[in-house]
Amino acid sequence: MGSEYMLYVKNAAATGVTEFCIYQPAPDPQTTMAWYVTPVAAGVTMRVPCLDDLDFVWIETDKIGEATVTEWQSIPASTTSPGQSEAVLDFTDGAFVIAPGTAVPDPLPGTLYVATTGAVPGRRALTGIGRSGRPLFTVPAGPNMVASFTLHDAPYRVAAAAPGTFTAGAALPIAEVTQYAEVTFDANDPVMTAMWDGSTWAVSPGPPPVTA
Amino acid sequence: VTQYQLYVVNNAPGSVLDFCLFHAPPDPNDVRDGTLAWLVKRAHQGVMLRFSWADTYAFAWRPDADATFELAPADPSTVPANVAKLDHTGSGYTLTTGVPLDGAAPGTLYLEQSAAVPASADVGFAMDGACLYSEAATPGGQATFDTAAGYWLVAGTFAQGAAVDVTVATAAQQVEFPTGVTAMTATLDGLDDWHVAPGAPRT
Repeated sequence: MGSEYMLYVKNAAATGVTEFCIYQPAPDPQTTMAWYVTPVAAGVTMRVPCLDDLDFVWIETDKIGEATVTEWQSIPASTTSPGQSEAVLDFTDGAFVIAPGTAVPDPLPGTLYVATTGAVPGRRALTGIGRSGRPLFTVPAGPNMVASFTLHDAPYRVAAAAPGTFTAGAALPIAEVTQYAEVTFDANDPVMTAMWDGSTWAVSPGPPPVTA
Repeated sequence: VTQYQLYVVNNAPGSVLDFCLFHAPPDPNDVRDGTLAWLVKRAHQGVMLRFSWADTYAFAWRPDADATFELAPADPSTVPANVAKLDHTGSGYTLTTGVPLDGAAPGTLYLEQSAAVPASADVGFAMDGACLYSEAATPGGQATFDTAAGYWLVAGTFAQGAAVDVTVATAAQQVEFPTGVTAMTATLDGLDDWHVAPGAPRT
């Protein structure tokens, strides 16, 4: 599926590597996830398809000693295709797995649902929706619950920080993120550019200007 | 200290498997008894894993097999920071690092045991807080670990921290991180059918 919207992020800082994190603040009480995280060298521009393929996701992070093991899965979701607006998270053979299924008796149009089975342990995984296989909004998973998710119009944000600040796929404490710009796409401006000069952001419609 | 990431994609049809990382020499026939399932996680088909660790070593010991390992930082690159000696007194175990040892070579970790250390104890070595090798203590003996050992990945049935059956090692996939590369992706397409590539997986 082609992307509706495209975001260019240019690192126009003079030197060094900056880590960029793209996210969309989740509606309360859902958790905002660090959706896309990448380090970018000075002078380099990256292009990120936004609002692309929608997914159901779950993610679990374990600690073994000081090492971490993160496990996640995504399956296609759709607010418009029949049978793709509901999913069921299960815990079988000692591991999480998500599959299309019936979550609620009367699903509302435009809403995505994740139900969990009684086998799902509490306090281990997050489940929710994502885009391009990466978690976007989640809630803590527990046994026998139903979570509903709706897409909302909050602008995407792109944040800049030192490499190692953000963890892709992890919950993002958005109140602690200060160096960010908001990016609003619409039908007139499906392509946007956010330029980071090392201290401030500048957001403009269209692809980045070509410089000599 | 380098932070490494290994992504694992389980595309083996209909499977639910334990994915196990362990440390072993380049020749899997040389895997020693006492090699442990270092990092283990179970995953269904269609699930992604990301193992993330720092290559920091530690000496490890415990009074018996039911106890958890105690750890003390080890520096394999420097003699004698790569040598430690475990002692046992009435008040318990003490580990002293930086003990001079004739013939100690950088790249290898040495854990000496005093004559007072009982054979019921275990000694071993860990990376990033997780034990990777252990053996029964030998009063007056010495355990060693060659840090040139590489990372191996295997899928099957494994328990975190338990001994790896060395016969499985021949079905394991070595994962080498080329110079300057800190992230690799290993994809299991069928049993024992691994594909390993640098970088994070494409989504």
